[in-house]
Amino acid sequence: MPSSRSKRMFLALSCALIVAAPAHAGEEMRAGGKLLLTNGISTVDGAAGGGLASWALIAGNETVDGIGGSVHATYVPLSDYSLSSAGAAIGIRDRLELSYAHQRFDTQKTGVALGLGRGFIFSQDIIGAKLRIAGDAVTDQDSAMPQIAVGVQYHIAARDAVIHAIGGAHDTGTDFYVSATKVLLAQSLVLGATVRLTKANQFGLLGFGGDADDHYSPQFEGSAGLLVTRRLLLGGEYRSKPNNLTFAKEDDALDAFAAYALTPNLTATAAYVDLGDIATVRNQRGALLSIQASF
Amino acid sequence: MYFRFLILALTISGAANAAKVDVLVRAADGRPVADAVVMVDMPHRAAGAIRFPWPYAMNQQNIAFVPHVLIVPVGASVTFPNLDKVRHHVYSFSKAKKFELKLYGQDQTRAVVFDKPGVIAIGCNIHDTMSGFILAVDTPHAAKTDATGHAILDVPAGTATLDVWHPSIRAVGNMISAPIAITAAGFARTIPIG
Amino acid sequence: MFPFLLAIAALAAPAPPGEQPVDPYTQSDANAGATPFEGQSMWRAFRRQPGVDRVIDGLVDRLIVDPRVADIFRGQDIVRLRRTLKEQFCYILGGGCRYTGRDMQEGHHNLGIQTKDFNVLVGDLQLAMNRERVSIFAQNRLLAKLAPMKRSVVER
Repeated sequence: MPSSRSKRMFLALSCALIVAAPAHAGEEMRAGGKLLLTNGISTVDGAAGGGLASWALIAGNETVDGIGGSVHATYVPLSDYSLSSAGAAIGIRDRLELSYAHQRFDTQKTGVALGLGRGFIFSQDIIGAKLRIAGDAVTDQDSAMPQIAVGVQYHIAARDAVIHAIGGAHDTGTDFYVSATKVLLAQSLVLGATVRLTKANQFGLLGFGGDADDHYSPQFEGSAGLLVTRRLLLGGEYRSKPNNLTFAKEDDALDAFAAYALTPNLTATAAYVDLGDIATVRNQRGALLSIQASF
Repeated sequence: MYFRFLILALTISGAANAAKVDVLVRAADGRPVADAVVMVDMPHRAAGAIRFPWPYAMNQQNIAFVPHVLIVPVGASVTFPNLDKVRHHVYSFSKAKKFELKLYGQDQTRAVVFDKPGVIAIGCNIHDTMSGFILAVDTPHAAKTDATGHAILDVPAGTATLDVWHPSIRAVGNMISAPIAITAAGFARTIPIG
Repeated sequence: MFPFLLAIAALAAPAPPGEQPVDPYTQSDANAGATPFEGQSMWRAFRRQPGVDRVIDGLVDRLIVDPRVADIFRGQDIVRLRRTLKEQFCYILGGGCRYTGRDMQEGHHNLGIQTKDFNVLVGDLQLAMNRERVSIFAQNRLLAKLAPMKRSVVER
């Protein structure tokens, strides 16, 4: 039986795609700097990447000669929850990226079942830094060398009482990651792989470490996208997550996305996302809708 | 009769009191310094516009400013002929004149008026190695030292101020100043710098 | 003796009509900066010489009025630029032309080109290729050969 919830999701997705595919006013693109879509979009953690996976690309439209940046807003309506994030990033000389994101996780009606109250909100602030250490994803077409970056993300989660009550060990945590991104223009492909050392439970919203495991574990993020037109990237992402809490199993996350450059400064993304089980509620699937303005 | 005529001619030519000022600018290791600017400031300047016998033009040629140092009178209009095929973007942040000029290949059309005395350091935004200097002076007695390090000026006898400018001089305005007395026989001095 | 005379002839040869002379240089297809595609599929994807001519003329027409890069092209020999770009693309796309221009470093020396200028050129080239209806996959295959030239072209 098609639920009102899935009808709403469909509407949201359609609206996003209609917004994403207008008859753009003229072909002339008037922004300098990077090639379209070569700074990725913004992950829910605030770093430049896909929607879920961080990439080795540096935020913003500026090249080695300048400082650029981006702001983003992302909404992820799921079967029984919703997740949203908003943030900003600065890209300095295509070398260093500094980012901030605020995430909100709305338990909606499920808050009651969890004993927290209807519409109970978890949230966190994430401050990130990423440094490109080698390679140039677009220029190095004549070598197998990817662009490589190292990054760190410091999280401050709210609701520390609840976090501890569910078995979470800490309400702050730091992720460390290494990303490699390669644009294979001859195949119209964008490929990314990231290894992240983390203790985060549900991206950090449910704290860090837990009663099952309070150690750092290496997690993997992978992305693959096809440049279907100059402005459209279609692809998929995978992000593995640790299982540190005994009260609820945590699953890996997947999405299939379409990122469309409306203008050199505005990219809209729509994705189908599957975050698996979240806090004992099963099969959290839905949409990821994101808009990013970059300069 | 002849004597009176001679003195009249000499007075009219102004050469009656003129003497040769010969300044040698030398580096610490004894080597001659070319493209230093030697100026003599008289307490009473002769009337009339200052004119130098060289063109007031700062050329861009082979990705360099030619001449490297150009002396012009205050108020002069200096042209900036671009003799290269590539563009140049000439600029200066010097207090005596801040300006910038975009000069496309073979562009002969631009000029700047230097209305304040001083040293104007110029560069090119596109070619970092390009460097030049324009000295806007308010004395007619100014010259650059040549390859031998010498600058020779014809200056009336009397007391005056000798100014020597060179980028390597570690003083305010890269300038050394000294009071001098020019006799009828002339004036010579060696100025060590750096 | 004969190669010597040829070399003299090359030095003495006047610039093609409408073009200005350039300082002598060694001609070689390797100056094109990339190896040609094998087979004919890329040449066909660009609709052979007429298609390449339209793409290059469209590209140059955009560049000389694009406010982001127009300054670089003012006072330059646009006639020669069109001819050498058409030769270069024909050579790389497997059209069998000889490339008679300078290599990428010498040809762009002292123009003060920055990374963002190079990216503007790629963007304008994409628009010209779109206008010619070259498939996105053929476009990206060509860009894969052009992208590494950034290292020789960008000086500033």
